[in-house]
Amino acid sequence: MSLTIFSLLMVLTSIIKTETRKIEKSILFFEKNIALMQNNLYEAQLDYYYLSSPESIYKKIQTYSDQEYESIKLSAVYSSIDHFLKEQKKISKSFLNEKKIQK
Amino acid sequence: MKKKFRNNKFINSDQKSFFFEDYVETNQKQKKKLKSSISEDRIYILFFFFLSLITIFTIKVFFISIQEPENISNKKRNLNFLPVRRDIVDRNDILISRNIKAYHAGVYPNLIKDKKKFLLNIKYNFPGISQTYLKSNLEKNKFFYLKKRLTDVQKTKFWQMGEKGISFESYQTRIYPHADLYSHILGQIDDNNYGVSGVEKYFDNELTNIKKIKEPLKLTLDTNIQYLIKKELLKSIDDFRALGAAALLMDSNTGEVLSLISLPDYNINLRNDISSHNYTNKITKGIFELGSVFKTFTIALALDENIINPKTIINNIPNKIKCSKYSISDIKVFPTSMSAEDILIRSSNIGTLTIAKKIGKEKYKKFINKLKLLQTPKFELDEVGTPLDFKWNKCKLETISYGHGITTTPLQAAAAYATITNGGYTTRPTLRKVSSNFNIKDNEQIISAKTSQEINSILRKVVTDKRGTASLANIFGYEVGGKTGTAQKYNRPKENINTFISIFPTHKPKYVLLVMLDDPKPAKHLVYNYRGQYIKVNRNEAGWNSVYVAGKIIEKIGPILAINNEEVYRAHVVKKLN
Repeated sequence: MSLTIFSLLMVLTSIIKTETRKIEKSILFFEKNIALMQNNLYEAQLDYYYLSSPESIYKKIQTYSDQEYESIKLSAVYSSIDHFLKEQKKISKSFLNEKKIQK
Repeated sequence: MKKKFRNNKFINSDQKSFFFEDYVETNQKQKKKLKSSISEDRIYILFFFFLSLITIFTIKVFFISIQEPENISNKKRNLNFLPVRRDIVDRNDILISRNIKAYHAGVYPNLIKDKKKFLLNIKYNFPGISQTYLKSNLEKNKFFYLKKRLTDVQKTKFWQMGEKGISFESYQTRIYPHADLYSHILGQIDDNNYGVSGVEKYFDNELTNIKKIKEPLKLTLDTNIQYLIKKELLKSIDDFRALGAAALLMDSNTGEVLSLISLPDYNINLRNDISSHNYTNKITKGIFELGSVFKTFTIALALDENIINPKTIINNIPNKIKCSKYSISDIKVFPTSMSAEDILIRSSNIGTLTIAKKIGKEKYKKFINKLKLLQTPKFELDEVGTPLDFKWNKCKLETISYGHGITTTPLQAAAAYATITNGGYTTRPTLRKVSSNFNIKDNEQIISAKTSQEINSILRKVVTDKRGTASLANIFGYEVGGKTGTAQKYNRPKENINTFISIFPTHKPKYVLLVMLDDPKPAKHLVYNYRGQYIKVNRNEAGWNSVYVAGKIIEKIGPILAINNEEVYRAHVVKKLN
């Protein structure tokens, strides 16, 4: 009886051990893949932060974009058409002043 | 008969069987044992030895089976790149410094078959590498470095040569994706990955802390704001033909520095020897006489001591006074009677000096010390300057009241402005994020909230008033206030340091912005929008350059700072509702 149990355990142990080894191998394989991906991500992040840096984006816009971007001043935001027309009158006055200075 | 049998003492009555002992055989065995050279004890020892061996192996096998195989963990270790220094990120988690794997190229001369061909190859691909250095080292037949700190292109070139004798030795180095944007803040590391300057040096222990190696060090800086300010400063150097420029943007309450720029700067990814003084960090290490920006401190103290209120009229202000052998005057001719706020708005030297005399030397001295203008500033950089030794001689009170004869760093001046305008609580500039539990009221209060409010409204008038010196910074929507300072350089009276320290929004200051230009010249080509009029001027005071630049900067960074804009609300929403 004891011999049978011993033999059974022996066989079971070897089976479990082999299966464990297989699982370990696949874990190692996945870990290898994960590590590779992590390393790639680590380097890609660096590339991303370089390529998305304000300077780099500004240069790209200058090189590839036909559109010109301008910041909108808060003073250019109007509450109504009346308000806009009133402000335009002021601006035209200041242009007249400028012409006088140039003369 | 049976009785006789039972009584026999040699016979065991309970014995059920019997055997015959072969005495001949027994004797033979005993004789063999006696003749044998192996004793029983030896057998036992051998048995014990083998038993011990089996036990040891069993234990070993058991431990091996429960332990993680060493080769696997080693493989794992080799797979993952583990940096020796932590990343540095800005306040929005944008990466600004990271360790990467890089290579040196070395040569094993004994592995090179055709040395002449090798020399030719190197000469063709890398003309910068000395041939004599190569020849002498090849003759020595010992390993030597061919080129250190290879770029990707250089490594590929070496690799494409297909030379067996060239080997690549990996090491870790620091990469700064924004190159020169943070050159005066981040600093650099040495070949052994130890910080040698800037943040890299100051936080060296924290950056190399192995327990936190995967956790980045977060600074208070903002990359986008830093870039926008730098761009404006570069433009200003061009426009005003200045030797350099600097700017500092900090939170008035927490002291968090959002941007710190000093121009000229340099690319920290390259290891250049920079010896020129022009590359000094002007904000933290530069010691300057900042001129009229000090007038704010004089007026603030006088208001806090109840010597004056903003509307107090100071009478009989002379145009010129003599103090010891020095003659002090104003650039412009001002009225002989001016209110206290007018003195600051118009930036009158004599008016400020008259108020300072009313305050007295002792109180002024204490106030300057409380503002920490004469001490070495505490900041997270090693590159900080110490203001020049200051002695309270004759005429010192008079001259420092309007910012002459006293030196400090722009960093300290900006911090003093933050203190005066945030309700009077001392502010310490910092590059580390302040905890969420931060309460400004835990800091020492050196002037009352009422005085602070009064000063803020005067600083606003410096920008909005017709007689103010900083009209060009009146950017709609941000309630900008501030004070200009035009000072001559020590021993170089023809060169100016023009400063503008602004606060915004003035109803509850959130930010302090300092802009400084080193020896700007009049920009004749520029058309200024001066209070609605487009004009050209040939002037060189801070009001015509530093203020102009500060205005441009606020216009650009304002939307990012997302200020709770009451001015816009009042101008548009309230108006519409009415």
